Amino acid sequence: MIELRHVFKKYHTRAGDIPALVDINLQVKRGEIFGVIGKSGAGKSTLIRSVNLLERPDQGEVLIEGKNILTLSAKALCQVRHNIGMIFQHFNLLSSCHVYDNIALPLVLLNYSRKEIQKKVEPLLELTGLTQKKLAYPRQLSGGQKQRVAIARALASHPAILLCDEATSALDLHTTQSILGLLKDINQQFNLTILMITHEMEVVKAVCDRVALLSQGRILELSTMAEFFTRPKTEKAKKLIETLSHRALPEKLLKNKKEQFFEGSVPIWRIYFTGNSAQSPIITALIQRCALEINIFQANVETLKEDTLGIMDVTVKGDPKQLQLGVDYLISQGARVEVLGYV
Amino acid sequence: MFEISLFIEPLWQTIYMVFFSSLLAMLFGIPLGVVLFITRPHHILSHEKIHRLMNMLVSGLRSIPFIILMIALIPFTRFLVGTSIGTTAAIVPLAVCAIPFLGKVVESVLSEVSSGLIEAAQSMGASTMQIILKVLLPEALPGLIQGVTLTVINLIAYSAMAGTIGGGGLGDLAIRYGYQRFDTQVMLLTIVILILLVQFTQFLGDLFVKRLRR
Ligand SMILES: Nc1ncnc2c1ncn2[C@@H]1O[C@H](COP(=O)(O)OP(=O)(O)O)[C@@H](O)[C@H]1O
Ligand SMILES: [Mg+2]
Repeated sequence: MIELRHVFKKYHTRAGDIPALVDINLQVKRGEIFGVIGKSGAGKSTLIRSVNLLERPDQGEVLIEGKNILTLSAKALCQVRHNIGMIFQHFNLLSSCHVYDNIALPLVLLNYSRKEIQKKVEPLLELTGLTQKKLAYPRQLSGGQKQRVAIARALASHPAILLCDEATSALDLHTTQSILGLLKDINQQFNLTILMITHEMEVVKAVCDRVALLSQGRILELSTMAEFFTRPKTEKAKKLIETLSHRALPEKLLKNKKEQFFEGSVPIWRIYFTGNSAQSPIITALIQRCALEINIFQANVETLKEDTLGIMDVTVKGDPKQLQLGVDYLISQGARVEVLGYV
Repeated sequence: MFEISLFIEPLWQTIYMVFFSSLLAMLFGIPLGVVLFITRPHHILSHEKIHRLMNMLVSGLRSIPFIILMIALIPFTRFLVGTSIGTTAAIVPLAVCAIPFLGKVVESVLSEVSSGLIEAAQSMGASTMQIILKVLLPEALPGLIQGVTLTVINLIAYSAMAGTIGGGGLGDLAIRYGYQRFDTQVMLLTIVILILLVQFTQFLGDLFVKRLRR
């Protein structure tokens, strides 16, 4: 559906060249919600804007439904863009137009008749729950409502693809949830392919099927959600995922923690478990089977789109043999153990 | 005492000059402003050479004092309207002065439209013309009206100056009666009428803007 092949992009500034995208390769499948996560300045916006050529890559290919759109004429590009909706962090609505006219804009651009426009806009008002607000102006709407208008507008020309550039970053938690719910709905209802970028791990967790981790213009990791959290392929990716997830140890532990084993210390484990193992009483088994003394100091079960992810930080007392037994047992249960340090 | 009818003709002349020069200013000044804006670097029709050329022309014209412009344009005016004297002839220098002024104002008003909005339109597959007509101008409309109001007010002031080279109008009246005949009453009343004209224009402009701002 969407494919980027060896995409490079540099910005030329007075301070020198900024490599915003470095050899980006990714493929978004039809009907999938694909997330790109990274810190601010990682190149996320540049990446998503390359998909509809708001930003032209210096090198590489951008394929939409198998066609390289970099070679298209300006007119043909406009045609392709009618098939790609986009929503933004700051909504970008026409302040001079009310909700209805904002949603109608893409259809006006396509020279649809008034009647046809009405036939398409009314159901969208309903879908996004804005029927009551039809004649309101953007400044009379809340952030969440504005984003709903933007979503309805993006869907007006019945695109096959929706691009979301930090679509929930300007919204509070509750509104974020409701917008994400709406995106999930339309993804399923219309088999819409969604590419979203965000710096919030929660967003990715809630809706994405697959995710890419972007750092300094490069993709560090690209995998399914469960894999992404439980077994990132590189150390760098793992660190970054942790930072982005705000998964820090408690202050006190962090201060006393040593990287290396020392006399009389116990290891701190972080245990990740997904799917079935998340439900099974793993800890009880550890205590009973391996005779370990386990102290849980933080535990967290997170709901991914199609999976659950459990993360538990524990200290474990036991002799080395028992510890090894414990690790083996966890791995056999599909969990992953990471030693965070020693206290 | 003077006849009130003394003022009727000059008032009409002033309105005539200001109306048509304003019309011309809008007709050429708004497109000029649009071109100045969209040819800016990194813009939707970015074109460095055209942008620089236009900019030079505009700032060149704007730095010539009106009174000199008026005299310098005499051959051009004669070429266009057949004479360089009279109210119709005065419209030419007034328009030439107002077009770059409004162009510059329009450019700056358009730059207030959020770039995100322009990008949103681009992402919808809007052509350059569609972006201008469906997004830029409607979004900037309140500012554009303020710009036009300002231009009209300037033209009222300049039209008085046009009176000095036989343009007629209230300026001409003020010079003939107030300056040459020391008729203070005519002078004062002319001033009052000019103030009222300006206030009325401002009032109309503000009214439109208020209706649009929501
Ligand atoms: N128009 C631009 N000109 C120069 N540098 C830019 C421009 N846009 C982005 N950059 C730089 O490119 C890098 C990536 O930016 P961006 O794609 O916006 O990152 P993100 O969306 O992940 O925060 C940043 O270092 C940013 O400063
Ligand atoms: Mg960004």
